Amino acid sequence: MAEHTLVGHRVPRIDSLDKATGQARYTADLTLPRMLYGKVLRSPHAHARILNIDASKAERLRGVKAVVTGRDTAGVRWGVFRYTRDQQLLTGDKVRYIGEDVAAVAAEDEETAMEALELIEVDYEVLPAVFGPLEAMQEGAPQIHDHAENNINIHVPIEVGDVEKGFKKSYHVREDRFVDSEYTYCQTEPYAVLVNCDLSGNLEIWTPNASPHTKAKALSNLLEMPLTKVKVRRICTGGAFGGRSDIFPGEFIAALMALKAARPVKLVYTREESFTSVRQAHSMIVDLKTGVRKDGTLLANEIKVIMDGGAYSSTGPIATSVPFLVWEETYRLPNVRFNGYRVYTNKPVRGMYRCHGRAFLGGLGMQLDMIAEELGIDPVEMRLRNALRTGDTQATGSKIISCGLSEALQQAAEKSGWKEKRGKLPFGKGIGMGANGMMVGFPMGIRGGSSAMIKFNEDGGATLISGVVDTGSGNDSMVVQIAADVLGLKMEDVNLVSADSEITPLDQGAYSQAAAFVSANAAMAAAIDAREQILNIASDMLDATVEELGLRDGYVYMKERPERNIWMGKAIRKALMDDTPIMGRGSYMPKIDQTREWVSNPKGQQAGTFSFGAVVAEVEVDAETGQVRVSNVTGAHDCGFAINPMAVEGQLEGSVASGGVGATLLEEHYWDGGQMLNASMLEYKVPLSVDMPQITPIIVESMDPEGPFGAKEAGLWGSMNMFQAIGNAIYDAVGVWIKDFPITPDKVLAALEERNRD
Amino acid sequence: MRLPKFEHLQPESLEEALELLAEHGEQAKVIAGGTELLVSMKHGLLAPSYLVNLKEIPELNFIAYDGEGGLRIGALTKLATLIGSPVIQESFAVLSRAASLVAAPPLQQMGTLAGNLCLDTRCLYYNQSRFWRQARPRCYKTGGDTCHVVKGGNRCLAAYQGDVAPALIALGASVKIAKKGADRIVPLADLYTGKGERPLALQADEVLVEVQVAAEAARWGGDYQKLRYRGAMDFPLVGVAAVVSRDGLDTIARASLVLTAVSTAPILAEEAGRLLQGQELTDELVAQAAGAAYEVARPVNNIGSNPSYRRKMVRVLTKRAIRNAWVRE
Repeated sequence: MAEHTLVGHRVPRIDSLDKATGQARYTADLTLPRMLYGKVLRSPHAHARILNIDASKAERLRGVKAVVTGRDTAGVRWGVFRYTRDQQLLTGDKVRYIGEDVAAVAAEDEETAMEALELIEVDYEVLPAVFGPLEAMQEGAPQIHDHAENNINIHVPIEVGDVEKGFKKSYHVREDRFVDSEYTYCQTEPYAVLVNCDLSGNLEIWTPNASPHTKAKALSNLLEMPLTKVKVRRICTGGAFGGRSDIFPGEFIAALMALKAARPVKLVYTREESFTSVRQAHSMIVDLKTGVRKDGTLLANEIKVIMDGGAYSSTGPIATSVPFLVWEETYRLPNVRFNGYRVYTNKPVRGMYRCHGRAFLGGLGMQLDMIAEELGIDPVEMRLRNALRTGDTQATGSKIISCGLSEALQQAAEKSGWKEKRGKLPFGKGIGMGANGMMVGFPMGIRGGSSAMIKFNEDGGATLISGVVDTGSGNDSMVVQIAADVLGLKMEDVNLVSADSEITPLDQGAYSQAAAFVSANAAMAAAIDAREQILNIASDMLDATVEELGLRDGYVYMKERPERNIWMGKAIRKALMDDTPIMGRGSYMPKIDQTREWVSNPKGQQAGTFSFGAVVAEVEVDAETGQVRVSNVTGAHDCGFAINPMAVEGQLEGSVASGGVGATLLEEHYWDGGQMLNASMLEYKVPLSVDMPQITPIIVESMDPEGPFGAKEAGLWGSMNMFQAIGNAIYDAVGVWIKDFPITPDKVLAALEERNRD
Repeated sequence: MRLPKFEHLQPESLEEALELLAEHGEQAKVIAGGTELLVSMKHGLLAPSYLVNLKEIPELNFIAYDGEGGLRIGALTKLATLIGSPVIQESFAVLSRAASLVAAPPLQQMGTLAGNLCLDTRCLYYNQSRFWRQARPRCYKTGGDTCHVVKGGNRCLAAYQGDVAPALIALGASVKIAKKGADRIVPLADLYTGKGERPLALQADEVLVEVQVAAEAARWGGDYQKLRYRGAMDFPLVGVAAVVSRDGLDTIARASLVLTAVSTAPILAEEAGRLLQGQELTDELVAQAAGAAYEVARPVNNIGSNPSYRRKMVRVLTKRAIRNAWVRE
């Protein structure tokens, strides 16, 4: 990689300065001439039939320009999949959770909109409600959707090998139940949307999102408008963590009101609305049965997961599958049976959250440690014996083309001083390990690939046009860095136009950790295409073959005689005069089995490639209060290749906080029935800077044969394996297993008291 | 969330402020740092027509100490100023420690001493938006006749969660309360009514203007222990302040233990103090005192975490507070 001036180097991200100085503009910061302010009327009932809505008084209030209710949208239903269209984005007949959208108002100012909401009269017939998935599955439980008996929304069965035989051959079998509360994303930026509507009926939409193309397509379907008229514009997104992926009522409602009023409408949610009325993460109950040989080799797994899906399907089929997938993506599983159930309840809708499956992967990773202890095997060794390797095929058929899991396990153990510490620290201090594998992309049909273009200015600068979406993780900077490197330019010489559904080509979006692998591959291909065109022209001008030429610092030069060079701008100008303007184009579609389907056909190549990580956490447990402090985290991640090592490290640090320390130890919802008691940043415990451990990131590079420069992904290491690491470290510290997440101090203390009683 | 409409009044002297409060009565609220008041107003819990801003009144912003008259702190003193004050750090360490554990540094820069002492009681069913609250009947604290925390409860059990009050009560502090034409000085402990719905014994036209601590307290050792899930920001789930003085080398002359967040007001654990008085400090005695503190704690399930756990933590924190206070004496 010696020839690279940018790729592989630590470079500041292109968006850092704007964000650090507060100059970056987010949706709520935008204003348009004649803009109206929207507000949504929400259900105060967890389950009720709507008998009547009378909005006439609100419509007559001075300053109110549009009122919409379910009557305006009867029959319009949203679902991520054709078979999950169960959510009316503005409900007409029934409400199914507290906070559901019932009506909305757009007015000249926010106060008027709020006043108008109070004038809308809704007659409800309150229905019996159900709040837990186990209760919801019982006979006689209130049925939330007519189509779903026993409130079962999704059932994903997967079976590979001969599970009974595997257990029979096992030397040791263990069964455990792990449970987990829900959590909320708590992105810094609350949900917001601005919709502009012109007289020709064109809609422009700004909203934090993971894919403008997916949003645009969904809205065009829901509003029955051609895609050419629905334009989702680029906007800074203040954090995603999976919570910007789906289609939400807000953008649909704002669009309806903008069309009705023929004026721009902005809708900005309160923090409370962002908690209850966008998406939350699933809670789950996980039953795990695992059989192993005497040497710790996994022989059989039987897994049952029951997830609380809330009122609607959202990403249900994905959510119900991924807990299993992240397990088969980590270890060799010869015989496995999985049954995942996603169950409707009268709670807010659950969606993706930094992948899925805290209790699941956390539980499996802790159960591995339990088994290792019972067999007298070191937990690192236990993982190494079962870890996937390059060339392996996963249980449901995905081939592993690059795998640095073993290196990650070894390096995390070595750098953290595992051998000197594990089992040897004084009471109250402990060390534990977690590991994970992670899909890089998943089947998304025509939207599963990415394409990009590059054009040039006459002064030698370039503009990269890519569908890449950056929800805060640095994807924009990454594609600029790659294009600049390939073209021998500085990063500041490359402009980026991205994430606009009208202007930029299709891209899979910031889902499934695919941006570095797919979007960057497309950007690299476009840059290579442009580079070839520049070198072709320059070879005439320098009287040299293309092979003899290089590009650096804005000049084309002869590699053997660097003093023979021309300014790149000259080549670009010559191309214009010759009527062969330089336009780079590139695309990438990952090699995925497109017949694979989450429920009906969970077999075949799931993702283009897979990333792998290992984390070692060290904890200090106060045995009198049960409080756990994570003091150190050493994380090793096989990201394929680090395009920008500083950005890769930043991703680890972020995932240790979001999804890591917070989700394992602190974050949970308090409920009274269907009402959330702590929908605020004060009472919902996102970790603070003082709660963060020392973090030592280690980059493992397995050089993926498909990835751009060998890169895969870097977004989901700590957040997928910190649960196991912390749970295992607590056991090492004080000798108790906590199987109920989050591991709050009261649970630790109760476990210690129980052990002391025995 | 948006603030409701109100008129902002800007007096330049205490006299003028008291005049305004006398004039507007229940229609007015005093604002200093605003860190609690503005949130409550956004939630629609309070809707005063007038806010009387005390921030520009210099006579309420001071820290004065002399060996005879003791410590006097003006109501408007920022928590950050209190924490940084050398005399408080040296002679009233329990106070600077308690103040330093309030919320987080940005809020300590805004929040004032009197504002913290006058914190309203809190409850997960009360500190919510108007939309949230309309989903259920009014509770005692919002003018109704039910409690959502203790089903069938006959009064409001919202928790007092201030950190600074227990430290000052343990130091035997008094507060000066002013209204138009009259002042009164009362023990700080008497500021708290124990009524969840109306936790402060302050009339609408009164302002807490000064905190006073006797000079002898400068010689006592003290500690404040706070349980919260995060390293900053959170209100206490349990707080325990301990102040002890020595008689000779090994005997406790006087001990004062005050609990917070486990009832509707700060609780003076009198029996715990009595047990310690005149005794030599032993593990057994500390455990007994902690047990006595545990007995008077009455947490209910209204501020997060579970109440039986919080009550157990009264024991643990009391032990730690006594031990630390003794070492510092």
